[in-house]
Amino acid sequence: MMQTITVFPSHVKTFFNKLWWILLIAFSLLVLMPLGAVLLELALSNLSIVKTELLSKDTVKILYNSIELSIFVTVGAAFLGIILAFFVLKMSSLNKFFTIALALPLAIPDFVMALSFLLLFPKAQGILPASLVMICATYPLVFLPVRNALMAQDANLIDIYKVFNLSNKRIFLTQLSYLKQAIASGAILVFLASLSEYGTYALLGYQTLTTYAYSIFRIAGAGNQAFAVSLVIVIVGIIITLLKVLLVKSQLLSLSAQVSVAHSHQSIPTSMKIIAAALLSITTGICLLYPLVISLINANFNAILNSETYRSIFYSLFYAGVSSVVIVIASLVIIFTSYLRPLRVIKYLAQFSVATLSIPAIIIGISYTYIFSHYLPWFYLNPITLIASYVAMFFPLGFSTLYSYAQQLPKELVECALTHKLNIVKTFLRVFIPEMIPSLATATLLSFVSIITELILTLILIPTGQTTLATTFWNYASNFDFHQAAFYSLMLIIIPSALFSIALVYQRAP
Amino acid sequence: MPNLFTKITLKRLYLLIPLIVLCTGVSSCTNQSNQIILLSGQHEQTTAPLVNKFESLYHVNVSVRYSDDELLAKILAAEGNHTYGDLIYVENIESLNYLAKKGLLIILPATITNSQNVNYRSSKGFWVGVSLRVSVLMYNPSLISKKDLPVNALELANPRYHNLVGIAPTEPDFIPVVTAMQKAYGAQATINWLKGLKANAGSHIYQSDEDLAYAINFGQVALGIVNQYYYYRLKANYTAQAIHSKITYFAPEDPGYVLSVSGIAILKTSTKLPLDIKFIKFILSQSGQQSLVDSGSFEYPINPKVQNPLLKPLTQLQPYPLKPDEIGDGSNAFALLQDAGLI
Repeated sequence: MMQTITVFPSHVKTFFNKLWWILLIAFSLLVLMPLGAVLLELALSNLSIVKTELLSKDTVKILYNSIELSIFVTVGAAFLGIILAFFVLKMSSLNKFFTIALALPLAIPDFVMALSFLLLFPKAQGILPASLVMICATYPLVFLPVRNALMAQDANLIDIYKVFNLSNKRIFLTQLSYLKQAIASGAILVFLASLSEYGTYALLGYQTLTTYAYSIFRIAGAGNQAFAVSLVIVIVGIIITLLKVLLVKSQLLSLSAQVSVAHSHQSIPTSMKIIAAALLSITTGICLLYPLVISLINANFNAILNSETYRSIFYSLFYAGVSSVVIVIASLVIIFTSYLRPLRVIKYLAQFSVATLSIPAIIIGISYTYIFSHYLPWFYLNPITLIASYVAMFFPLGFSTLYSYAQQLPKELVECALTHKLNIVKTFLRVFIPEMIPSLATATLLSFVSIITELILTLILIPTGQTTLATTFWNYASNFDFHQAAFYSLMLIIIPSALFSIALVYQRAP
Repeated sequence: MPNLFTKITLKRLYLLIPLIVLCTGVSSCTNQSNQIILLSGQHEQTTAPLVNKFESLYHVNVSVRYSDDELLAKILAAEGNHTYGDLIYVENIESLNYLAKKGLLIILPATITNSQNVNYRSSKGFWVGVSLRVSVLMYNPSLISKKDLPVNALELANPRYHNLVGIAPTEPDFIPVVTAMQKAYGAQATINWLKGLKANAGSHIYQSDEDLAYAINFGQVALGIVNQYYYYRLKANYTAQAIHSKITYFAPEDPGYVLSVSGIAILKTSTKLPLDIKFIKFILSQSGQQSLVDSGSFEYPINPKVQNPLLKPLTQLQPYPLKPDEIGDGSNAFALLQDAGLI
């Protein structure tokens, strides 16, 4: 737990108080606004319709579908992510290459992955293909934190296990128990991503709560049932988050905070090496190279000369870049101030804000439309609205990444700087940020990749006349113009992939 | 890396972001006197040529906000009287009826509405039709032979089509079909029909006509009801070898055989009425309608003086008689779809 700084100059207190409350209120409002809108819409609705909807057999059945699918995906992604993280660190050569290649599916939009899958298996439908595509798209969310946790482990631990004559299997299981924190963090992101996914399920014909909510939205005269369904999604998200919090609080998981986890470059048997290389190559082939090749083969490169392409790339980079920077700066400021005053509210923000990832984008979009058009018209259909909505939607992703990293940092440096009358901004810039650098790239890129591939929210709030790569892709794909669409999907893969690769190459160990 | 952060002060960073944001926003915020904002739920490939031609002919700048019909309707409902747009052009009139019901559209001048066929415009004058589409039966001959196809939509619920039928119940294009079925056979028979369709479709339930057309063409499912232009667009975007499907029409005046209207309306908040009217007149003119045909949208131009030679002539179609007011905002059809467990 963080320690309260006892020696606290008065000027710092004043500055801190103002900054703290402004930021906290602003970001809490931003993050909670969509949830508030869901509740407000429901309160203003015909409650009998909402009640009927919530208790209807169909809602229960679809809820079951969603949870069943999310569990499949979470278990599959966690299993694959853990195995790959272990194997990748056992590779004496090509370690860096596979780390990058295996993280890159995160940069491929889920709907592009689903479309590529459909081209290979045109008859694919239902829970199995939907699960496979989602596992492929989300396993890096487990792979990356587990790999980082493994890298941070004291290598001597393995030697100690060996002294006790533990078999490789026992060592693996022991290491696994220390990885629970990393696995739980990754798994919850997978679960929530799977719960709120729309495009993949729509393409692969599997009905979940999100496709159901969108279906209701698609009929102009339909009532507020979509908000009722969204409430169910949010409640499931909160329950899962709560479960994770309880698990993390358990004794076994708390160990992982002190004894970080398993990594060793120890040699493994040749047969195991072959299996490891095969698994790494197959996963890279299926989840990265295949969608990339499909996009390459189908892409109409005449589009390169099109001004629409330049415009789409510019706006995509602009919105994803600015929004992810805002997310990271806001998270850093909040986390830094929490060093000075460890309020419970920050802890809750870190633990539960992640549940907002389960709110369907359409709900966030409509609620922001209402609020900005009515109460902040100067910003409506201005880039500020879109950036604010991206920040609200993806803030938990950046914030939780940075918060969990910050918990491992020594607090003494900040304390020391402040007690030596270094002003708060200088302490923030010269002491705190340099300490946080290893996690900055991951937090920025996770937000960046999620934002650049976002479609529904963008369609609702993008300023008139602007397009992004995702909206242009949607435009061509919905007109069966798959050659043009493939070019934009290629751009959607290449741009984040390049940034991701650069960040991973220069990533420092925690 | 640390140097980079220490060189840039926090203050400068804070200044930089809003500056870029505001600079980028300037172009989107300005609404000049010779500019109109068109909200389009129509395909960009259909809208863009119309807009380009209008701009070059009249030197009026048209800024287009693209989205889905229904999404636009929900956005406009959420915006209420704070809408930033002048015109709305959609694929399906349910959205326009919904907006009219919410009091967000103005009544168009009689000079526009009177020139149109009463079946292709709002009876109260809130919108006019721009183009037409007809529902057809799309099928994959390798999965079902032509002689085994149903002659009317009601037959699709027959158990002999078990596992052969695909449906897109939440596709707005399906709403006129459900409405026509209700008009022809009554609510309960329509619910039974929808339940039969659901049973026959099994897992072949799709989100949109695009998905359904793709599924039929590539053999996921044998047949289904789609609007004719999805088939033609699929054909236009694939090589002949990749086209494995065909279309046929139901029996004359069968409720599965309906014409649906794509329409345009003026928003109540518009301050550019003369330009809005000019745009609508253009879009309905021979020149505008020819642009529509040339865009490759494969919709029927509403102006009888313009024909699309690639389509079966409109005069030869024998659709079920369904008035736009009967379709309404889709809420009746939605209730039936819900009762049948399809939503």
